[in-house]
Amino acid sequence: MKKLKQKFSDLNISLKFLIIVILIYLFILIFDFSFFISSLNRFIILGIKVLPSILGAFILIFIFNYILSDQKIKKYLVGKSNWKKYFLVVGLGILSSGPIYAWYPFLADLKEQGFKNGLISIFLYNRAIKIPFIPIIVYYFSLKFVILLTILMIIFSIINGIIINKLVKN
Amino acid sequence: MNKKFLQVYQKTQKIIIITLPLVIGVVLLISLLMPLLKSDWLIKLFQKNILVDSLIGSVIGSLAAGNPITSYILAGEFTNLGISLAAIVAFILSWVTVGLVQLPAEVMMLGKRFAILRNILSFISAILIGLIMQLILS
Repeated sequence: MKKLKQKFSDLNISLKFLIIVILIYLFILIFDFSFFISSLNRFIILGIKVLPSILGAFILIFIFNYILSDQKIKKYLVGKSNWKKYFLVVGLGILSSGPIYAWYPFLADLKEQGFKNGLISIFLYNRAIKIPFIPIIVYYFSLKFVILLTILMIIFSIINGIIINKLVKN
Repeated sequence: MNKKFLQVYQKTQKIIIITLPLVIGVVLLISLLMPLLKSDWLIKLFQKNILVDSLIGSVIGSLAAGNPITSYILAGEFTNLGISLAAIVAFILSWVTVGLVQLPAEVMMLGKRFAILRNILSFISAILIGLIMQLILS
């Protein structure tokens, strides 16, 4: 038991997280088998949907690291934030796709190179503007609704980014 | 293979090894919590008070995870039930911008202070944007 504890504490934090979630699943397997199976089915369906985005994020990490040297990143995105950078990141956030957590490693990597916390926040917030889903929102609500929502989201994302830049130092 | 390619490849490989278990864990957790978000009890929570409903909408959206398309469809159902626009907007926005389920992953990758503050600000923004939209569109 002591050895097992030691082995667990030696693991990196993401592996620890996965083991804890697997233990929750095992617990459910014992007490509610049908819920366990349905959750597992959902995991497989969601996993297949999410996989291309995750692969895409890893490919982007590779491409960004290869094409953009540290100096180039520093020149365009790293360093003191300005309006040009804010709007560039707004655009990148809107154009990005896939689940939010697929982007964490990419952003953590950029952060290591000096990408400001406020810009990360702006990027993550603008990911909520999903261009492919706009027709669905128009169908349920209206075009006016979509335009107003998008404008407000961009404004609030920048306000939040400025607050985060002030309160969370890199 | 040139030296730069190999260096970038090794760096990316390291990131994948650290990240992949985290992503699998988050997807497993989301799969577990999904049924809670598709139940009728959600609709019964709203009380036809703009402020309270916006707060409720934002809380439910924050707890939710999954494809945003689900939130649009649910929000469409909420509209048919007479739930305020402010609550619906808060629900849609917090669904995508606040991630309580993903919070452990965000803390690990981007830092505790950043992750908590970003989620709090996104939560408040969802309510404020909802109220502004209600004021303008109603």
